[in-house]
Amino acid sequence: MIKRNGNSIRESKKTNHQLDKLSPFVFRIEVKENTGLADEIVSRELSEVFSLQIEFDCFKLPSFAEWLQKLDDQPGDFNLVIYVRNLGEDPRSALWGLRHLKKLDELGIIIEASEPEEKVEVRLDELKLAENSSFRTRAVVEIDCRTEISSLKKLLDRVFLETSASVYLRKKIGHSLNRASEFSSLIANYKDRLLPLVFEDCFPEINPELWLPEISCRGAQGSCFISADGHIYPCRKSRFPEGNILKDRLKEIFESWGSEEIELCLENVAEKRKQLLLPVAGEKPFLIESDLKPIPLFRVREEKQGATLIKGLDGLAVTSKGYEIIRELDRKKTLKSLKKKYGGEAISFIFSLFMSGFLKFEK
Amino acid sequence: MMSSKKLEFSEFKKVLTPEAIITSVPDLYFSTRNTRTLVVEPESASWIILQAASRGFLLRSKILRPGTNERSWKSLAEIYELDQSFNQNEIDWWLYSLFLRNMITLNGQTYYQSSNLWAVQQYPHYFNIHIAESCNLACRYCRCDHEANDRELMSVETVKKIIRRVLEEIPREKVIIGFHGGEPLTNIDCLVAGAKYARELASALKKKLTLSLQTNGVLLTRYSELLKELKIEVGLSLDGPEAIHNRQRVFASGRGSFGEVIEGLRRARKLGLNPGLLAVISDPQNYVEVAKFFIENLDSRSFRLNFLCYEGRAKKGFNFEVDRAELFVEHWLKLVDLAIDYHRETGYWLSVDDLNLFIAHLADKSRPQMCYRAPCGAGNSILGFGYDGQIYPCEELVGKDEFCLGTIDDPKPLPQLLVESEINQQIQQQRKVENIKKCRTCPWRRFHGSGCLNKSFEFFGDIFHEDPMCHFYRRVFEELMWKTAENPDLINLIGYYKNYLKDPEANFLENII
Ligand code: SF4
Ligand code: SF4
Repeated sequence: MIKRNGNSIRESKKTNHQLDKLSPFVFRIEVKENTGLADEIVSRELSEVFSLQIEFDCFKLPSFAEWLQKLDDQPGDFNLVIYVRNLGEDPRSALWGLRHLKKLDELGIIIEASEPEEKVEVRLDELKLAENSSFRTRAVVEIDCRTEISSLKKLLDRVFLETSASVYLRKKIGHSLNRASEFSSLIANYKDRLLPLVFEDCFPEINPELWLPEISCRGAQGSCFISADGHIYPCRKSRFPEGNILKDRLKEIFESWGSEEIELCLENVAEKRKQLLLPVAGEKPFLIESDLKPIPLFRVREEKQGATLIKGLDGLAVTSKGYEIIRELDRKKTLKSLKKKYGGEAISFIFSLFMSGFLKFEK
Repeated sequence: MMSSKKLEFSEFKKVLTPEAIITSVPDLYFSTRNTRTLVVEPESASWIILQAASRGFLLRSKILRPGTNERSWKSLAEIYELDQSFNQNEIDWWLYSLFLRNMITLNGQTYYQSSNLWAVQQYPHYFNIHIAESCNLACRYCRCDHEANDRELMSVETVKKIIRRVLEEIPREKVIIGFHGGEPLTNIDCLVAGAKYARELASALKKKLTLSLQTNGVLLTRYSELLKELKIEVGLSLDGPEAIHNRQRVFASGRGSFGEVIEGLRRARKLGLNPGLLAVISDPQNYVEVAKFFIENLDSRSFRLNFLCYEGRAKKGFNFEVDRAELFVEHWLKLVDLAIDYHRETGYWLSVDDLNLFIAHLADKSRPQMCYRAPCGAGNSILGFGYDGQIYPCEELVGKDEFCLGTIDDPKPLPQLLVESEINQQIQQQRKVENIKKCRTCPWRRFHGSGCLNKSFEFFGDIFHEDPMCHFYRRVFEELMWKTAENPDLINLIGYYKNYLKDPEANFLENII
């Protein structure tokens, strides 16, 4: 029987076909009125983007709707996720317009957990209205250092009971978490009931098993944040910008992507996440019948040295050797034939893709 | 591992050696109510409800993990070791149930190969001919928003040409020809000539032919006898009790048509024709009232209720609030309760379209109804013909230039025309759940199949969007899963779709572990 141990976990997390560094394909952008992020700049860089999460404070009609429409008309197959703190004066008209966006995947309503009850009520109504209007919805619950666990619980219970939205938890910028242990047990309870609760960014104050598996910020591995003034950060909480989209080209920024903050983030999030999720290596590939055919479930972005495989919020950078194998996955080739051509290590590589949910096998 | 016969538990247990590797599958959907959790595997349209014990165990063993693409991986021996208070047979049964639903893989394999499910037909079998675009009513929600003029009638020559080409050129044994419009009974010569010609030709070519007609019923009193003679199956549009019907289905003068339609229905029934009833629901509060009217006043246990769509004249005169779908859900679910009560009181199960179809989709993988798969039936299961002989991929698209595939006078054989038409190719290759942002990751994508191409076009202006009533489908599929868990007998609501079940013993009780 195969036993887990720390070493083999670490060994298994990467094969020779995988690279460490991953440049972002998920962009979170903050948009304010009169934002510096002119259309051209966003569209100039869209080839890098697979998923674009845009955050509005208050949804202003018609200017935001027009801006979004132009973005939606851009070529390219990226997903839009839109966050609003407030749907504005005419929520129905705002929603009618948003519904017509082709690229829109999800709509998030930001709810500040420390707001007075009447305000929270308005946000919940907006959330329900969005859901009833056929949006896939997220309740983006923002907590700050004042948030009481009891009121957070009340809010989360209501979201789960009254809507089918997923909850995305995050901290208000510049705030930290109080009452970490009470918070942990609250979260653990929801998790035990399989309720859809995701962490938007990291919560180092609590047990990583609670937030790491489902964190939606990939900790500088695949995602980045662009503030309304164009600064590019690894994530919402970073303090030091890596560049500015109004001045620099994204490609150049990403090439020098690697400040101390990023290194720290990689260590804290990306590495830990892999350790937590990936199983042991060893003899497992040979347990798989070799006439299975690998069926890819990812999209590919070509890079200078290889490619990035992208599935949802997950990305995997592969070497040119890895990319060569990826290109062979035409839904017809079997593990047997791939092994013959590329050797056993290719099978380990394919198996690690399978384990990360990037491909499935069919007979 | 998929075979036509379901994998037996005993067979499954043989493969379950202690070394067997169990992995969870990514992208599962979870929905929790109290102590139970519904799990949906979208790609194979599978679902199960976990009770507290199985849920706790599967979660702790990390066999199921919400919200992450990564999988956990364990050998069976490790799973057994995890909690000795469960007996192995019980754990095996849970694993078996998950495996049959593609929620876990065993040594890398899943039970269904999802890319082999839901084959799309190559050639249409249903040909819908608009023999009259004009109509003797002026319904307030008509899909045509112009006044059709009286000359928009198909000629006998055109109808015969369509029928000849369809029967001769399309390589299918079973063919349905439907006469539609406008009001097809306003072009009776064409109908009679077409029906007779179709029968003769089909019998010469040894094809199995069904003829059908959709009418507003105003001329049914006059033509019932003829329709019976011609052996045409009749669908009748009747929106419910007088007050409701007369608000919507009116003559040009504004007068309601209820009297004429009921008279037509009586006459038809007296002659042994049994028209299928179809109501359009514009106000969801009417669902139950309309259904009760059909059951109690018209003695009908089988009917169809469609909701009003955003099209034609309806766009102006009706409420299309952005959140209208939720109200439809609320009242449609009352219809389900009505069906349950009716069965309790009388012992009979109603057959209400699309309730019966949705139940079928919960019970089985086959997708017999062309409007609930992607690509839908447009151009592969159905063709529509305009009064002027123009060809369209679907009845609902007749008259829309953007979708015109050609004309019946084109000498190119129809199968070739379908293959060479860029419009048709675009529909077949691009309107797929994978290409529609919203549907791509939707848990219900293989239950609902993105919905109607025409409705996407009317509401969004293109064919690459989800069904505008998306919220309705998302909700009702889930609600029906929870309801069948409470009441497994609901399988009986499947109505005539049971003929399409691949697993005739489908039993909703097995969907709870
Ligand atoms: S239309 Fe809506 S419910 Fe249907 S498959 Fe698409 S996203 Fe899912
Ligand atoms: S276009 Fe709409 S009505 Fe026609 S086959 Fe497709 S789904 Fe059905």
